[in-house]
Amino acid sequence: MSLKSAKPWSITARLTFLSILSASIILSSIGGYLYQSLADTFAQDNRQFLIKEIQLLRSVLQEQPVNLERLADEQGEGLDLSVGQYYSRIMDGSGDSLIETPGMELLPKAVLFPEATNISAAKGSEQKISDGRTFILMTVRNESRPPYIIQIALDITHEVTLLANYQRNLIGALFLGLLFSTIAAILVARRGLSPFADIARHMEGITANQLHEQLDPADWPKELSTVAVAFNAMLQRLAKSFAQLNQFSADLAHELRTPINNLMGETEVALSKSRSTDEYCEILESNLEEYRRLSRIVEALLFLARAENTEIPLRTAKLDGRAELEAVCSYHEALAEENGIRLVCQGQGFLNADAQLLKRVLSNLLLNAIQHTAIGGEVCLTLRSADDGSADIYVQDNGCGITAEHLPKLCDRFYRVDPARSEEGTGLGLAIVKSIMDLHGGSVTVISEVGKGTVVKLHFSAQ
Amino acid sequence: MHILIIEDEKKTAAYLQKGLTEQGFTVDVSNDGEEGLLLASTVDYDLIILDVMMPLRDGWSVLQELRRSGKLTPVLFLTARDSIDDRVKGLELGADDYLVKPFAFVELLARIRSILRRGPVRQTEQLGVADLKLDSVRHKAFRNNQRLDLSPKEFALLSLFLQRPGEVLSRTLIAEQVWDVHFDSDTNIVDVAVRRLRQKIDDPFPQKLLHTVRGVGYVLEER
Repeated sequence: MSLKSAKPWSITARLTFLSILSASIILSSIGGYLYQSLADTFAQDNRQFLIKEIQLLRSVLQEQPVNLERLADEQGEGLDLSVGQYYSRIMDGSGDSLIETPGMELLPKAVLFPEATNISAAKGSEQKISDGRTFILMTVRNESRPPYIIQIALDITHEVTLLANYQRNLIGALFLGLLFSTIAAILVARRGLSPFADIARHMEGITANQLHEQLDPADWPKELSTVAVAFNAMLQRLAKSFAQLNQFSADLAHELRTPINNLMGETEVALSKSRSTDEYCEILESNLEEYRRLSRIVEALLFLARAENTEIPLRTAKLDGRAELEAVCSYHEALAEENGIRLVCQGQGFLNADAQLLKRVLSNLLLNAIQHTAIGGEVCLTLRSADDGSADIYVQDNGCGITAEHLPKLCDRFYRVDPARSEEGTGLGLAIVKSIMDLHGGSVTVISEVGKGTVVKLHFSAQ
Repeated sequence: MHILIIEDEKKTAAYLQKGLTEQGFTVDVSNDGEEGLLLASTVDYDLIILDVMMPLRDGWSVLQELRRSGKLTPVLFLTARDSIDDRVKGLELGADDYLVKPFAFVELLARIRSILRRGPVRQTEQLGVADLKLDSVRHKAFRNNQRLDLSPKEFALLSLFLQRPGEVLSRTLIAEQVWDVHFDSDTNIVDVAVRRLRQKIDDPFPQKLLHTVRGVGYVLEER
């Protein structure tokens, strides 16, 4: 959690870090390889040299009788070798020294030298002695009659110093390389990311009233053109929402203007001269109607706003669908009869819904159907429930119908098919139907044919 | 009956006082929570009408303080806020009822009467006004001893009027009680239903019983 909540690294920092990491891995592997191969070359040369010397000494020792003078000559030759000084000591089988080169006394027989082995298994051992010099030491047993033990020491102080210097230089070069690659990485990252800063500057420049300004994806590198496309899509959605909001405000103002105008006008005219009590009552009554209308608009808008924020608690229950249809019909019965319209309920089954909200949905739809159906018409409520628990309710009339162009906007707030009929209702009935169906996770579909009638299908999901 | 109105909006307080006084109540008005609380805890009122949003002290706090001091005067909340939480909060604090602005005055009157009545509405087997009689057991209605032919909903509507004779019933209340419809509908459905009922119970007879109270609702009484 804490990792997630921490601010993520900047991309520049990430790129720089990764470049430094890869540069340091590459540089240190190269340096390590160079150092190691040099050290290996030295070690191999030294070993070959020592083995060769031992073989030389052995060949002298094999001559019978042993020519100690020649041996001393052989040993002495090592003193001015360019490889470095080397010393040797020849001992008999019991380990007593027979002959040794001067200076060998600094290298005691047993303490520093490795165990004597056969020449093929001979290993050099590196030792540093008290005067600061470093030697490679080797002990070889010569299985001749009589046996000898040859100890040989090669001064490699020079090589060790050389390698140490080489190592120091390599490390220095490594750090210098890292420093340069860091600077390069920062510069490259900054340069590479500069289109981001550019696109951000472009985006910053866009305010609410220039939502139509788009970013041209062709202006940006491939990686950013997708961002530009997504950003354009977002701008379009925002522009659409803004337009809807503006339209809604305008519609709302218009809706409120009519009743307010009536109220102001009627009251002003009433006050212009004194009138009879009956006249005053009539005016007040008419005003009250307008107030009720305003109050209904406010209530409906509040309902829609709450439904949108899902603040309306849904008291869903398994309802007897037929009983609900009949209850709503009984409420509208009187009105339908007045208009000479027959109400019919069909179908059986259960559905999951909030009883009051369902009543509101059906009531709004019935009202619309009754208002748009001529005398002698019929409004039919049909319930069809499926085995999976979902259900559909059809509200069908044989009224005037709606032309196709209006259908998509039917559930918009304040949308009216016939703007001239604005006195009827709040213009929010179908918007409320849709929001209630949305709350239920259901859907509304309107199918209509001019002159034949309209069917509104309500789908309630199984839940 | 002595009622206290605690409401900071002066116009509201004034028309409530006027309306309730005309209905025969004695009405005191306070325009802020502090003064209202003082009045409510010193005078024995039959009912307090309390606004929620007020300066100095809000309605909830007034009610809380009042109940803490042991006063059990019935309280009816008036408010422009009507989220479910607000409703629940008011009732939890011990309010007796809750009315959301804007409301119809008759609605308020009906609520006040039902709180003060402190009991169920008249539920007798034989209901009647003048020569209009209703037998709720046998589901029959008579006017001047003539049987009236009513549909079930018309019968329910008539019972509602007869249970509350002389009381003005708003359209909202009628829709709620008869059809269980708890939303403000855009229609004159209630008017149509009442008109049809009237055709059956009043039109054939010289004495009219079901009267329209203009712009407000309907009342059943002998005039």
